Amino acid sequence: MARFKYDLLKIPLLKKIVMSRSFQFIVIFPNFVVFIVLLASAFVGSPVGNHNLAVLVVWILWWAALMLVLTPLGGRLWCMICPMPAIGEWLQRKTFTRKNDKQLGLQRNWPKKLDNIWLQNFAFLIVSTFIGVLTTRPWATGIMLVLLVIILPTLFFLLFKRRVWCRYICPVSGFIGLYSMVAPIELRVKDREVCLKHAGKECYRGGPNAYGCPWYEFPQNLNRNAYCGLCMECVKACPLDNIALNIRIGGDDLYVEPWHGLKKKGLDEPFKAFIMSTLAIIYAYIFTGPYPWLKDVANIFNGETFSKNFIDNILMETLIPDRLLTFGGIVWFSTLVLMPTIFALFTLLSKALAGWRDTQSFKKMFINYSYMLVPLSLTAWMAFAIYILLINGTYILAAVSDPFNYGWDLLGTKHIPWTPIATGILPYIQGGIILLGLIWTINTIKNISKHMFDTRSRALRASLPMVILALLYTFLVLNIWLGPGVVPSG
Amino acid sequence: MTNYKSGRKGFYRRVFFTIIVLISAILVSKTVSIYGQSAGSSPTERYIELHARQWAFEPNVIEVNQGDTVIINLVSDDVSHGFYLEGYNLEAKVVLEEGAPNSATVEFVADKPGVYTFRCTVNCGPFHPFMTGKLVVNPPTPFYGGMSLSVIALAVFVIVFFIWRW
Ligand code: SF4
Ligand SMILES: [Cu+2]
Repeated sequence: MARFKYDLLKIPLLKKIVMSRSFQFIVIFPNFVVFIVLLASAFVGSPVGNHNLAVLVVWILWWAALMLVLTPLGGRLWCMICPMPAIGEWLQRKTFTRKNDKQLGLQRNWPKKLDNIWLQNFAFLIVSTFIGVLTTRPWATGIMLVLLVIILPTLFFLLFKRRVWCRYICPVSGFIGLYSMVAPIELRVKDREVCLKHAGKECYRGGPNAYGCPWYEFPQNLNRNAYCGLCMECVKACPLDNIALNIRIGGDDLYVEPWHGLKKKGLDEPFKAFIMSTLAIIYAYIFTGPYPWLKDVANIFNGETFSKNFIDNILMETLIPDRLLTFGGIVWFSTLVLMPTIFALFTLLSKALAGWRDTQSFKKMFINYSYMLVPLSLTAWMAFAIYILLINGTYILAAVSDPFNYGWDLLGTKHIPWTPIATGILPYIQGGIILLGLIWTINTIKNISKHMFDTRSRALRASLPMVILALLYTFLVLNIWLGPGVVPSG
Repeated sequence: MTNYKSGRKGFYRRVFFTIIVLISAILVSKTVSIYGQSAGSSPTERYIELHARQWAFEPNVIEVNQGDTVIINLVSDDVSHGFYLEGYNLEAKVVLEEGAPNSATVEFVADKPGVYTFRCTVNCGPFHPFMTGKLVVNPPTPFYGGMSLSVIALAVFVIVFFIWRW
């Protein structure tokens, strides 16, 4: 089964650009400037959430771009241009572009115990606990941006070696990594044999003109996209020109053991999948669902109007502990307990059907099958993102003309009224995406089963509960977007 | 991967499984769509007093039948609010100022079946963008259609992926 692959680095111009030491700086810097503007806009721009550029770009445009385009098509393409680690990495390397051997900071090693994405999972849950406030209060998005673009990454870059921030902590990194595995792009070595015989290992250790993999990946062992940040350092480092950036059709990232079996799959990635598939539903309920009580508890601060400046805005708000506990409880319990329990029950059924004895262990089936949630929840998020973008996207056009609330009309778009787009056909677009997700998921279940069982009938029987689970999830997502979003009452 | 045996015996098994899966899919999707159609009755006029508060509508789910003439009277219980119905692109506003009435009305014929979100259009506070409710125009064919289609898609692709093209 030879899959289609084409190495983009065969294009001389592209290779030349990527080989340049300035490449990363050039792609990150404009994005960095955008985020600094957003940061300023969060504090001095309109205090009204849906007129504030930072809130709108971060929670509508960025989210939609990540879920609809960047990740499904480009994998970790966002990480290539991400401004979050910029300041930290420039400081750590003491340069914008060059290769420095002496680096700034304590250069500690990351603890082995934390060599997983649990911190990323928790970071995402923390952001989600505050999602109601973040998406409606510019000051909250502002504080988040200060933490995520300036303070936290810088701290981790100066304490630890390499991109510990990206690999282990960043709240968006977890789901980008998870969904990057289905992307039609991959960075891999051209010929693994060449690597195995090559003692230099500049791709990991660093070479005269390049840093060793900032993401702690070892190119010769790459067989999944999950943790390759597409920074292109290894392309510059490898003296044998053995790195390829492939466009591909299909990929087996979701079925294989990481690092050609040298690493084992833990429970951290499955839980990321549980978190994402559960929150795709909870977010939808908060943003467009019919249940007022859920919105009320998601709104964990008590402000009811807007003041002129952000300091007054923060001062007039107080946290309501009851709501924080209720909503936090919903977010953490549903993702870390409820969804995993449901999934465990279906795995149990699957194991019962496949045969209790002489089959895969429960744990292995639980872990391996959880990757079926990747296409299933990605498409649920796509249905979410396209809705938010088309309904509320026009707010962005108005806000971008006056990012700092100075009364500007930079692009002449300031007075564009809120205009929801394509509301008539939107449910059909969403329905199509959700249906596609189901089909994609069934195919994924088949491939997971095929890799796990030695006989066809066993694989078939084991798949059955998982296929049913995929159908039930699809019903739930359809109910939110095409249905009433409530359990039908007689 | 492993090559599994196939031969005449395998062929009959495949046909057998295919038929079973197809029949159950058709049965399930029929049930789903019958359930969806069950709410049909002759068109009437429906008057709904829709109360708006920060940040919810009451009732938050409105159910009517296709063909009904729907009159929605928007009333605010606190600050200024609005009403916009997706899919139908209808709008109404209650702006609370001196002399202005605390009431606004939209009237329309619910000719498109399905479930449509309605939302506030006046900036009424931080959670304004999330102030939504649902209008269910029975039968909600797109929803039941989507459910039926997913059952059928499931059946077809189970057959394709699991039974024929292993
Ligand atoms: S430097 Fe190149 S050839 Fe050597 S191990 Fe790394 S990728 Fe392979
Ligand atoms: Cu309102």
